[in-house]
Amino acid sequence: MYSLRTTSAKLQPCVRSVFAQTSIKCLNSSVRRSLFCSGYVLNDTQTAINKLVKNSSQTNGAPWIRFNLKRCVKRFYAAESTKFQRGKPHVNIGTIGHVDHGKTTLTAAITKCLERKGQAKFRDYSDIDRAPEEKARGITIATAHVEYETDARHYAHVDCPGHADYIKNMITGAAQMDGAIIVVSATDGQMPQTREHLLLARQVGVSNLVVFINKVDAVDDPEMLELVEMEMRELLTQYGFDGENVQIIQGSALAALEGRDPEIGEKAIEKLMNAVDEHIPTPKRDLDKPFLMSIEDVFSISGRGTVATGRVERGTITKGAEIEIVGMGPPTKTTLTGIEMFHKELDKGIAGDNMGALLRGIKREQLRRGQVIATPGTVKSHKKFLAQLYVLTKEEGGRHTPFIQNYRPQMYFRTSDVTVTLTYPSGTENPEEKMVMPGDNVELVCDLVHDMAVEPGVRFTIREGGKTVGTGIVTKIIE
Amino acid sequence: MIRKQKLPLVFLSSFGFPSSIKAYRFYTTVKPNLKLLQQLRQETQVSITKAKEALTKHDNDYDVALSWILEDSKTSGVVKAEKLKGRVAKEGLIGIVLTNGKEVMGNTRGAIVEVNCETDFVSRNILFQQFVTQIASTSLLISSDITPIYSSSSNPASSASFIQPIPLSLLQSSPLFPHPSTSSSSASLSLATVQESISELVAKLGENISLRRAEAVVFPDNNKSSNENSYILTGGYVHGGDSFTGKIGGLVVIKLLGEPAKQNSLQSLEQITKLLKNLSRQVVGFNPKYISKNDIKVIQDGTNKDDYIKENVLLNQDFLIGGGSVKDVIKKKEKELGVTIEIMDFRRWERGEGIEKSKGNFVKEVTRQAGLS
Repeated sequence: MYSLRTTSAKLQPCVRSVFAQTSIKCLNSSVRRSLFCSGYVLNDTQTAINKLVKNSSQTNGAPWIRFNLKRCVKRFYAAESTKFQRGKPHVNIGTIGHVDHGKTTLTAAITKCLERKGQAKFRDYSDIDRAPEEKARGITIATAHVEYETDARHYAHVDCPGHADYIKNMITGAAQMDGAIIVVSATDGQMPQTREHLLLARQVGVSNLVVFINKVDAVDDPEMLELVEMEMRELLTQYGFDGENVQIIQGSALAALEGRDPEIGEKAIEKLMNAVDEHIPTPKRDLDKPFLMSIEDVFSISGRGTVATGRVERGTITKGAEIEIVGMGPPTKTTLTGIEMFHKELDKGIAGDNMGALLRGIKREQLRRGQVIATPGTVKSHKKFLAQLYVLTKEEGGRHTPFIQNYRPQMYFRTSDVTVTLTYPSGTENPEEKMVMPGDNVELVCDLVHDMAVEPGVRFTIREGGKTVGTGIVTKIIE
Repeated sequence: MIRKQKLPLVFLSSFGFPSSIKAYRFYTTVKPNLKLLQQLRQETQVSITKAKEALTKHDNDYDVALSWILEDSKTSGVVKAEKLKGRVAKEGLIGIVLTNGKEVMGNTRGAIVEVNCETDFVSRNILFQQFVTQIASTSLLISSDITPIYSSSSNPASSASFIQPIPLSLLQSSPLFPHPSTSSSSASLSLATVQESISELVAKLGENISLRRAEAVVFPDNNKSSNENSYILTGGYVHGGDSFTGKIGGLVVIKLLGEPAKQNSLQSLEQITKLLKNLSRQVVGFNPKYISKNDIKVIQDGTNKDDYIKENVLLNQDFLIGGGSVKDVIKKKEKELGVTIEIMDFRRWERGEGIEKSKGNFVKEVTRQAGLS
């Protein structure tokens, strides 16, 4: 999944500029949506764009939009020779449910229904289902993906065998879920372990769910179906989801798969995917987030000043922008007076670029590897936070033995490394009696020896004596 | 209203399928009361179809329906369990329960069990966790009646092992006991056997659930162990779960010789309990194969003997919380308390160890079902 993400981040420059343009020029959002949700875009670019241009000029009547779209047409043409479907926003979803409630059948039904429209592609990811970093580290991840597309978006459908696998995926970033379909059979209703399913969704940061009540053809009383739905809404609310407004679709995945009873079959699947399209928001792309670059190296160039180099993690920056240097002490504000890439001056740096940043009035000694350059006020430095960790097994190259609280390894994130003390969260019963073993997923308090720019969602690795022993993700800032 | 409209259809179809007349009559005459249905679901956690059947069959009489469900879940659970039997159950929990010798020094025992299910969603559920704790408690209770088996073939010096298997057939037919710490009022003795309880749980959770193994501490020789100044003490530790269940469990049996200094016996008892807990944690964390290096029979050629001993022999391993080797820490404790401590036996179980994973392939299965490839 990570690899999918990165490929979409490395979009063809022209497509990327379209995104940038539409946002910069504040294109009417409806036009923007229709541009990317139409599906015409994929199938028949030329006619679709022409149609869009026509439509937009009719509905909005703004000539500049028309102009802008025409420019898009040109850019789209240029992209056509390559894999263009990446232009659709990408979303990762997963199915969670009891083993017998039809997760696999539902996934098959979705792909089959979309395939009929020519929008599903099967890819067996068993060989490449790891992020490149994970592969290098040899972390084994039990996950499978199926890919398909709706008119609006491109999906990777993730399935993991168990709770621990989903958590491991979340921590390593191998298969982050943006939303989930909870599958419940109408014959059983929710089961005791449905609670565990919802807890998992919470834990991996999925706040947007759609529920599919499967096997409705096996229940002949509509009141029973209502009860299943009502119970589901109650449970969802109890576990902190918006139970009242969650989309619950009733249907039969098997009927859809066998091509019978279209009302509960194919149409239900269509309804389900519409609900997924509408109620699981597209994750914000790195490009749209506030600018952040982690400093890798610092140079002083005589006659010009101090230059910090690094890879832009997210956002865009233009020459002359106000920036803030965060981490290892109080933040410093200054101006970005120049951007350089491959010895050429640029006006703009964007996510993914390796750039040099010329900073006004900053001495070389003021900058250190591991600090970040960011849009002022968007990131703060902290010393103490809560993180979810996966501790590598011996087979994955990790420790052979457990560790106990107050373990002090090195923590690596972005370009920095800093000594960290790991303890159990406050409220843990008998922390002195506990231990963390290789292979464990565990939530721990991380206390850094000096403050660094961290925020929830930042991934890191834990190393000891030159070998990686764990990997983790920041979940909550403490101080 | 909806029912009435459907009536003609119902009768039409029942002409074609005479056997279904009876079923339709139930549905057409009695409609389940939805409030009761929900209440019944909450109390018993049976499937919605089952709860409905119970109410329609018994004219919405809650109490009758409830007792019918309790009775029925035994038989329907058996049917379901039979159906799911072939599926791989490699998740689950290890459960450990100890007898607690709180105030006075006395022999203590313990039991370790493994119960498997299919997914860790189920093993994280409180119903399953409680069940495993109860199985461990039951094992502990019934093991007091077990006469130890003396293995004549094994090393005569170490005599019989202190931790011995409980025959599963014996355990399955025994009534399921609650954990001693749970208040007896809330845990009403159902008097269902272990096997019946498994079936009930299968009906609720819908996964293959199997009791894989159970062992308990059994005192091999009553004459020896009842020596005035010698005690057999048991410690336990489970990792990655609640207080009694987890992914990995360790059970350690020690023999304590000599009376700890009288004036603060309570304090020394506390210290010994702590040592036992730490030893069990050591076993779980460091996975030793032997107690002392004398137990090693063969060391493969090419392996460094010292390294092998340090890695696999409990007494020679580095103690988890520091203070030298396990042997050093025990020696220090012996001096402190004026006793001698000998490790007699230990067990370390990992849930699902040795169970072959099912080779399920989600993508292939989806492709197959969708008829695409």
